[in-house]
Amino acid sequence: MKRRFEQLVDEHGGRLLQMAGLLLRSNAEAEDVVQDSLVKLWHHLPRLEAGKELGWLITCTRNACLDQLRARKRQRGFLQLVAGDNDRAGRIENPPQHETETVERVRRLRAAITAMPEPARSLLILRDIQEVDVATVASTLSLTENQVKVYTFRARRALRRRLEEEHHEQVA
Amino acid sequence: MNRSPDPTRAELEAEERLIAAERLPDDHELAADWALGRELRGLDVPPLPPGLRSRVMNATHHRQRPAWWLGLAAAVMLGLAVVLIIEPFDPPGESTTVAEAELHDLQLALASLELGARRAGSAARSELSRSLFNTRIDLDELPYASQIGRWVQPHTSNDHQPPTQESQP
Repeated sequence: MKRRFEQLVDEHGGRLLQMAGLLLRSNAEAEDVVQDSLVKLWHHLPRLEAGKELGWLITCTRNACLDQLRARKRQRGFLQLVAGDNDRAGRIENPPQHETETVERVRRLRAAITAMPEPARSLLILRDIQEVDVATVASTLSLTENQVKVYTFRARRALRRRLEEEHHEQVA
Repeated sequence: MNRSPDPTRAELEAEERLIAAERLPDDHELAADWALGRELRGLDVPPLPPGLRSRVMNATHHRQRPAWWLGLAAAVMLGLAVVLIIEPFDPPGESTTVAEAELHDLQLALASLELGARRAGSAARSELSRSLFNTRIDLDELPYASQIGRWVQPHTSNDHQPPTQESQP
């Protein structure tokens, strides 16, 4: 049991952290969410079917991230109401400035993905970045497999349009 | 009248072509989608930072520790009970004479002791089995596992089987 748990942590921990980071745009919050999810996994592991762990972990982590985003939105509304200060409420961690062209492109990609609405954002993270199989993503997001394919296609195309628009704005 | 193709079906087919494609498709739009997909796949999944990993392990092992000690205490109790039960009683030497009433009392005391030891053994065995299940500790991880294994094994496998159905968060 302990060995199985450690194996799952090593196999999927990084993937969960990447997903939480892209959803929350905060490394510290992402680490907290992933830690909670993994501790929950420890308690649920005896009742989890073998092979279903990744789907369970993705669901647990994604739900926690979405809850956190909703709480953040409520808090932002409250802060705006009290202080009238938009910047203070929406502050997120900034990536380092000393970046090469490739790193800058990756940063733009990440920023564009995090700006996508749900479930497009989760689909891009799970299907395109992490290459999680269609069946697992479908069960995680409560969609059919065909819906996963169609929505992923739409999300990728929307992301591409967004990146192209950004590029044209910069050139102009 | 010509019907326009179902956009959802066209998107599904396009996505399936993209999944199957190993090289750049001929269609310009699909080629751009394919290239973006490849770029996204290039965003490597980072490993879990060692600090976070150790925090997770500490959080899970911390909860395990008190029950581990309970298991250890139960193992000691069981060992004591086993010794009491299997230790043969040596009668006093030949020169000692014992009155019939005293012998009767002695036999009664021994019978009580044996009954008490058996009950203690049974209680310790069930306590240890429960602790092993609750703490998810393998019997092999306990001290004197080989000596106490035959006492504990039937309980852990039959009496405390965890449910097997999947649970969703």
